[in-house]
Amino acid sequence: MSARLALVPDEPSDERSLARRAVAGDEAAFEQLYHAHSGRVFALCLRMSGARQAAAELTQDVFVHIWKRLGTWRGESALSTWIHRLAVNVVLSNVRTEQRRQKHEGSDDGGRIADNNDDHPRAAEASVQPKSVEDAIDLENAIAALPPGARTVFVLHDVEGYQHNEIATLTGTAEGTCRAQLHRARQLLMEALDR
Amino acid sequence: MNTDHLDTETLSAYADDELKAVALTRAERHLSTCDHCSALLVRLRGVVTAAGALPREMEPPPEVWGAIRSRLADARSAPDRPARWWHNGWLAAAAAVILVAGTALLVPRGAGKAKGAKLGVPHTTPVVLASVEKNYAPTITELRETLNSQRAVLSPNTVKTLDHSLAVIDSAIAEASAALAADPASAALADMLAAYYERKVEFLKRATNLSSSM
Repeated sequence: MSARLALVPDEPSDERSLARRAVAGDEAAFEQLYHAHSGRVFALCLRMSGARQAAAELTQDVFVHIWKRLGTWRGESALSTWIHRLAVNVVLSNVRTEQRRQKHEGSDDGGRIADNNDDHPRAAEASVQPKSVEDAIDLENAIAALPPGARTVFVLHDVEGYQHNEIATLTGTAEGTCRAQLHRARQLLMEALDR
Repeated sequence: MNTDHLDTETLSAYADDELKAVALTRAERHLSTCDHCSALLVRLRGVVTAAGALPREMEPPPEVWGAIRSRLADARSAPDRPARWWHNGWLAAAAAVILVAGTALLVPRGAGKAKGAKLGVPHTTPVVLASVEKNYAPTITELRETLNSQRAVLSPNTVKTLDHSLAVIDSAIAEASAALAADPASAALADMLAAYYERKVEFLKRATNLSSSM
């Protein structure tokens, strides 16, 4: 384990050390890793789930997965990359479960922006210039109100910078489907921001 | 006045430099003369730019860490991942060999004709065959989708092993399907096909447990 971690060339040594200690069961070390990475994980969970409570629960799930799996981190990528990829998978798994549940209960993704704006992100959390704050909040709210499939692809592509082939692999869908979802998301966002 | 506007999909693909030559030329020609579409493109690029500039980090609620900490002890004391044995390539390979051998022993000689004609399901699917497939298809599709979406967290060797083992099971299903298509009255073949589907469902469940525990 320690040999694998030591192979990482660009990982801060203190973080490698924290990872080693966390793998050995040191919760204080894991807490430090949590504080270093939870902001990025929570932002991802929030944007992909569209709801703050769900994002908090997803963040818990992600870090419990990290705790269980940290020993398998091979150091082939930066720890932050490994964590981010794991977070995406946890969130996508949850999205699929939720979609199946909604499908089972007869609700509809329907191609419209849903009006579930009751639990929205983050006015105080965006650290951008004052003029941009309102725009950013509007955009965050519009993203949160996208249908799940379109939201997933938009967040991964336009916010997180994934390529279509990566998103297709992560979501188990065709690249063409991802592109169609992205175009749809952008159109819906433009319509929402025009209101 | 130009009323033949570009649709949002084309504009979106144009903004991402993903249009092919002919479509690109057509779009550029249109954009050079159409203020409406040019304005739409500017707005669309604005959304993309704004999305890329959103803050990457947001502070989670303070209670999240406490909730995580309360789950840590249980997380590691829980029984180890049930599908860990798939990490062992030789064991997975042995499972594949057993499946192949089982198929060879169980599929009757008469099945060879159907296999020779075309492996898999014929145009006219017998009622029994269709019934067996229909029974398992939704579950398999769902598990497949889940597994596909989780491939990124698996090691390349594990993915390779899973794919190989799935191919073996699919081959067994195809042979049993062909045999049943040739002899649709055979209850034994119907049972065998159902057993292979059961095996596939069980395998996919183990595989998804494996990836979701990573």
